Amino acid sequence: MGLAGVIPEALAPWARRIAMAGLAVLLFTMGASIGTDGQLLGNLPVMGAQALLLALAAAGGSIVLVWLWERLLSRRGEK
Amino acid sequence: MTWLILASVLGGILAGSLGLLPRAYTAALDTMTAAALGLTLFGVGIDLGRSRGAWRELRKLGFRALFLPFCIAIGSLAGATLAGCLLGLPLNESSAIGAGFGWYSLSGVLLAQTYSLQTGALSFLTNVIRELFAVVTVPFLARHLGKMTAIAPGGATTMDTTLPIIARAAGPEAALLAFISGAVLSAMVPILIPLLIRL
Repeated sequence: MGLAGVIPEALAPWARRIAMAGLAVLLFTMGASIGTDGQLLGNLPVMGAQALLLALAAAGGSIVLVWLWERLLSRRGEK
Repeated sequence: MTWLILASVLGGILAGSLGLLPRAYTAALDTMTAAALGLTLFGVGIDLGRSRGAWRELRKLGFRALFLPFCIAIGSLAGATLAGCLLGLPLNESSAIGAGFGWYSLSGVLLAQTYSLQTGALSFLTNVIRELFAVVTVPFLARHLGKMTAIAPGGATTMDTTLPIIARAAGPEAALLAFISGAVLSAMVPILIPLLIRL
């Protein structure tokens, strides 16, 4: 709908606000579910370590791939 | 924005663990969250569709501008699944977490609602750390490895939160690429996560 321009300009800020409000509710509920789940709460330190590895690997993978491509582009540019 | 997100999650955890929430609230959670998720995704869709500047530039730059988010997406998914193998996570979980591309709020709630709370929480943490990692490494990457490489770690966040850092460290041309790449990746998050989690 946003792409088609069906949304009037004046209403556009509201789309963002609605998304934000919905997101805040969802995040609060996710937090509440984690808080009521004792087992999950105790598991947070382990999850933190897992998250660190996942984050570094995901970011690292994308860095390596883009770096290879960028090198390829600049080599081609030199020739 | 960041503060609202952190306050919402921490407030929820506190309220839940201290037993502050009434029974009726917990019972109504499912209906409420389903409605809130629908509203959120609708709003996100409108917001993305409205970023016309990005889509116009995308058409102008063509292949090159699309190949950057493509590389970032494949690299993220490969890295996350590899780390998932080491941690003994199932393929669908690790790849879906990787497909958050740093958008921790959306990837966290999507997975918590449609799959499992545990995976949602892990995705939230993973993608928070990814954004922090991007904030810290962008200047270094821009100086030593290349301007486009500096766009990679930010993933979907390079259209908003990490954009100023990229603009300062890698210049306006890279910032434009970063914005487009971030928009493309952001559009992929709500599509890829539900697909990958069903693998």
